[in-house]
Amino acid sequence: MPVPIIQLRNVAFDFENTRALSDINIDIARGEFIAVIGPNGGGKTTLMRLILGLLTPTEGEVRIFGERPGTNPDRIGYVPQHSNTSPGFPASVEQVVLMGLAQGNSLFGKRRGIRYTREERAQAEHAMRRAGVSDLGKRRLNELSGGQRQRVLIARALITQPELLILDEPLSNIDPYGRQCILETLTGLDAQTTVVMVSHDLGITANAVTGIIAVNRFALASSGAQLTPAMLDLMYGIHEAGCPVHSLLQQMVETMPSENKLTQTQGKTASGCGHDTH
Amino acid sequence: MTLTELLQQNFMQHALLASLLVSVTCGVIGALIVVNRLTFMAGGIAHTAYGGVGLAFFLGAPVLPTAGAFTAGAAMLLGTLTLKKRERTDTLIGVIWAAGMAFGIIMINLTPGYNVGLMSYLFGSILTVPASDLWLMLGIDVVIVSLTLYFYRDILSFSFDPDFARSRGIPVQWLYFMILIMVAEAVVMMIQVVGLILVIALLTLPPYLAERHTKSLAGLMVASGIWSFVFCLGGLWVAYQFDLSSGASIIATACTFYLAVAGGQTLWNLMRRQEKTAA
Repeated sequence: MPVPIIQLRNVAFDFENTRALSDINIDIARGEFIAVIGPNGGGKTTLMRLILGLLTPTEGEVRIFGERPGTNPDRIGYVPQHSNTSPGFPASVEQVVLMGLAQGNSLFGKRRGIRYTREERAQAEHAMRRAGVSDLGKRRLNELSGGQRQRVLIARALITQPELLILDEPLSNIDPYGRQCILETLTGLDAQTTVVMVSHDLGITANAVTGIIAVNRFALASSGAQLTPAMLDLMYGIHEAGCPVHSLLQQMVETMPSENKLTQTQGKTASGCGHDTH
Repeated sequence: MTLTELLQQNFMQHALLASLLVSVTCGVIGALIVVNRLTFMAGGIAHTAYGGVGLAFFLGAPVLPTAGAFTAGAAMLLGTLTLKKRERTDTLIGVIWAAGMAFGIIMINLTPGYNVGLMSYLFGSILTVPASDLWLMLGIDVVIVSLTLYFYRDILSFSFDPDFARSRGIPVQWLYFMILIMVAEAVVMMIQVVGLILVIALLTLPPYLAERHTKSLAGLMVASGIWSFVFCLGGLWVAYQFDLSSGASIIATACTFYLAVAGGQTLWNLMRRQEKTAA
């Protein structure tokens, strides 16, 4: 049985004397497309930051590709919430994508200095094509829509051709067309690329995911794209019929597919999103 | 005195050299301050420098090196405190700002004798910069420019998105402290030119003007440096023509340019909007 590329064993995390995550045991295999869902403040982003090595667990162990998180940044692509970036920053789309090459592990490494090599620019061009933003290279971020900006950040994460892509709410505040383009980009990636995505919008991701992890201080994982009653209980508590929350939860279950469906969009450039999956 | 005669004077040549050296640092550090939103932090560091000036007078030590060391220490303290208490950043900066100035005033009070030249540190005295200070400024320029060039990609990534930079293994805390120390040394360098009261204006106005016509951080740094040199020259000319304070004249020149450009741009946008409406 292949070793999972993400392994969390008995992980707990405390934030200012409050236990934010407890008893987390998760395995994610290569090639999976995982949606991480849960209520606000439930620990989804904390879980992502533990996987990335931006936080150290209070208890337990996190292993990424069998190593400590942060050991090999080129194998992991990260797309933070786009609200963390400033659209007015003096940089073109190409320059933002090239920032994905900056790496601090070696003080005297090759990737230093102001000028980028031809190979580095070719890497950026390839990443921009995969994300469907190759025609925006010279434009500044504040000239782009929210969806376009998010795809630029995805291109930045893809420039090192990572084996694992982690996205924190990439679809929030994006219009439906932009969401569709982003999802096409993600589902069109190489089948060996593992995607872990925090998303509130389970409906739109339903046809793309191969697994779901529900997080609300604890975590429950499903083996397929199935939202189980236990997951709903964990995230939102038990609500009786007649309660407005109960009908909302029913709707969430009904939007999930009855079977595990993965829409294969590899090689297609539908919807005019303009991305290249190769 | 004619302009040619004026330019042959030693003090004026020193003033021009000081303007050039300060402009290099203003370009680099000013751009970093603006893109990292450290304007208030830089103001706090600038005013804390007065503590270093007072300490130098009290100890009878050379002012710029003492102020440089003191201000760097204050910058590190500010950086440490603001990282631990992010939600109270403005309060902490205000406290250190006031504490630094109060310390400097007390040190000067405790220094016997009449301390001539104190006002020059508050309001600048570019026309009295000695050769030794010019060499110090050159040294600071070389260090700041070298560090920025070498760590450019890390600084760029950190300034745009610190979270992503951390995920790439970039030591963001170390970079943050490095930038704060560079701000501290830039401020001490600029005390001679515009004084610590007005330092923040010369650090921020050039990048605010330059960001309208630059497309990269490196471009912003170069354009800011050029604007800064233009303001220094313009301010020196105004001070000479009207017998005014050089530091204030430099800042007044910068503000006038900024208002003219910003006002012109607003007017231009209004006219274009009216044309579109009429069409």
